[in-house]
Amino acid sequence: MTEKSVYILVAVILLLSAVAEFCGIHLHSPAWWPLPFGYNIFFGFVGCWALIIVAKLLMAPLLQRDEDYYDDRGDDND
Amino acid sequence: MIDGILHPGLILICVGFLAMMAPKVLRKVLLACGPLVALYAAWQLVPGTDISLPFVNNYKLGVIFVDKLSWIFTFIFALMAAIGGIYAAHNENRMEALCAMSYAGCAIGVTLAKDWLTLIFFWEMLAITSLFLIWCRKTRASRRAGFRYLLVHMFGGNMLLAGIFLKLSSGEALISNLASGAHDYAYWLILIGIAVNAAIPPLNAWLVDAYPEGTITGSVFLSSFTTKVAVYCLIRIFAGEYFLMGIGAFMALYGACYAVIENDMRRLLGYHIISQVGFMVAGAGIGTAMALNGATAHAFSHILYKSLLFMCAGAIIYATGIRKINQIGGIAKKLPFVTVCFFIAAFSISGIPLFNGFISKTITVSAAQLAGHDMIFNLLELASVGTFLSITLKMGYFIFLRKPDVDVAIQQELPKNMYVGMGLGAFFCCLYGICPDLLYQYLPFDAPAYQPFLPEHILQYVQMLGMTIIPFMMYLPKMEPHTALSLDTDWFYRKPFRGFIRECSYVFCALCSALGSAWNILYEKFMELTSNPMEFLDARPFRVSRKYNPENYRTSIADPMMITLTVLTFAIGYFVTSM
Repeated sequence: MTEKSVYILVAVILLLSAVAEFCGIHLHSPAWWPLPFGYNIFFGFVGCWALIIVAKLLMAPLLQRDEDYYDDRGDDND
Repeated sequence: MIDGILHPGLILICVGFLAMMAPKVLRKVLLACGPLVALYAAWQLVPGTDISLPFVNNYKLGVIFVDKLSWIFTFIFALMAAIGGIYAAHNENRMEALCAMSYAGCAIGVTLAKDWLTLIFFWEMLAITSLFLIWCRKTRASRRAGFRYLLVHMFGGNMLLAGIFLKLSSGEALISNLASGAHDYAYWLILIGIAVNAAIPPLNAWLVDAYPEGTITGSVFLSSFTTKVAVYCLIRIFAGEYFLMGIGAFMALYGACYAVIENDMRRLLGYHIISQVGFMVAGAGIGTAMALNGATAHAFSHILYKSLLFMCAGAIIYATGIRKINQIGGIAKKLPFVTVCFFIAAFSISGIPLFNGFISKTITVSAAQLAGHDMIFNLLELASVGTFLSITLKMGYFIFLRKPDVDVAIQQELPKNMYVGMGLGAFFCCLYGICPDLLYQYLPFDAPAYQPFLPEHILQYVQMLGMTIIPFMMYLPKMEPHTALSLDTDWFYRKPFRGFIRECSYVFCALCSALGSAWNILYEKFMELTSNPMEFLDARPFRVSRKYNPENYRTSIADPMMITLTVLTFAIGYFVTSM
């Protein structure tokens, strides 16, 4: 499966779901904010980017070290 | 058997001992079939059963207490032991067979406990048996990780023990919900003890440190019991504790973020245990009947799909010897059955409709929304996005679908029992996903019937998870993890605390040595003076003492030499005269 075909497949799925939402599937919530049209699509896109940015651009440089960071071989007899 | 009722946990412990002693062929049969007896016994338990054994001082040990909550956890633990037993049946390590079965048995022991003393007994046994599952791998890394695991769980176990001691001292022998009572020392000590096992940050690092270092089959068991036993205890003891809701949502995101950057397969899955347990902790914190049912159902589903993920990861490591994501690829063509099972588990954990994660996760999320906790709802949804991103997309693509730089060789074929174990796990993930009522009818709390397959629920997840694919594809060239170690809260006890302890050791060693030298000088002076009272006449406190010299005390060899020479002379004289 090529990259282009993945994009097309996702686009078709999202388009169909958007049509379904537009035509009659109504979301129910006690709050107003999850209800606008396309909220979940927006949430998926923004949320995924937020996670990638936090994990890859903030946590990785800050928290990742060499694999032998803790490896103090002088500590035992192996 | 107690009063005609079989304790499923004790059956598993017996199976473990028999498997340890049995010859190889019989051990396979015992591991594959023994847990089925426990599963049958668990199925036969009836809510309302309450059996106690007499103990000292008229104290009664409530070893079998069955209500709807303990029944469903007992059943899933027994089911998991059955699946895990089949997956591990080829294992030749006797001790691992014993530890794995006893570990599952102790988890059931905690679940069925009615009183604090029975709970702490099985709780500590749970820690010990799981420790040996890590040590059974017999590598340097597993030994060291095992010791850290031991220290953390000794801390947690002792906290719980101290809390239970206070409870018993105040005359409260039976396990009860503490959330509505006084928040005294006992409350906090018990909470900390359970939080260690639930891997609630900052007490979470032991999980991702130790689980990846367990044996291939042992990790499958490890992923299923310790944290879920803690979830059971949180539901039973701390249901409705408000702050757990926020902690759970934080956990869900914490694990999901770490999983995005993790490179080790089983370590990544370990972070997702933390993330998924976060959903359950949040459910316990929300405390409504629907949320508690959601936490229970999600623990049930989680045991099935997480063990399946660990089984698939273990199968890949068994077959290829590789555990790093950036060193592998193209597994879909090499191990097609494992690939299918992995994606079933990945779809389940991601909450894709018709898989079992969807029918359980959405209960807790909906409960948060209905209870008006909008922020918790959003954070849990975001964690769902992170789960889909790091397991289905990241692991799915980099391990199974992409073409690797270097062809990955299959070094050894998978045993048939591993296929059966994975197949069973995948079957149950699909079964409960398609027929949720099979699970819902046993949920313990009285809440309105939940409808998972409402079009709006399906639409919500299809849109949200579908859209997650786009950023992943856009960022794909940089999504591949690289060889690195992610620091977690274990850094505090593996670096600064370790340094502190080491410096303290130096100080105490120096002090000990100085005290020893001082005592030695005192002792020598005293011996010198007392051995010869005349020394008092010219005793000087700091004069140089006569050191012991062995040459002064050695016996002369002149006598034996003279005897030898005399005998030799007489012998030669006799020899010469007799010629």
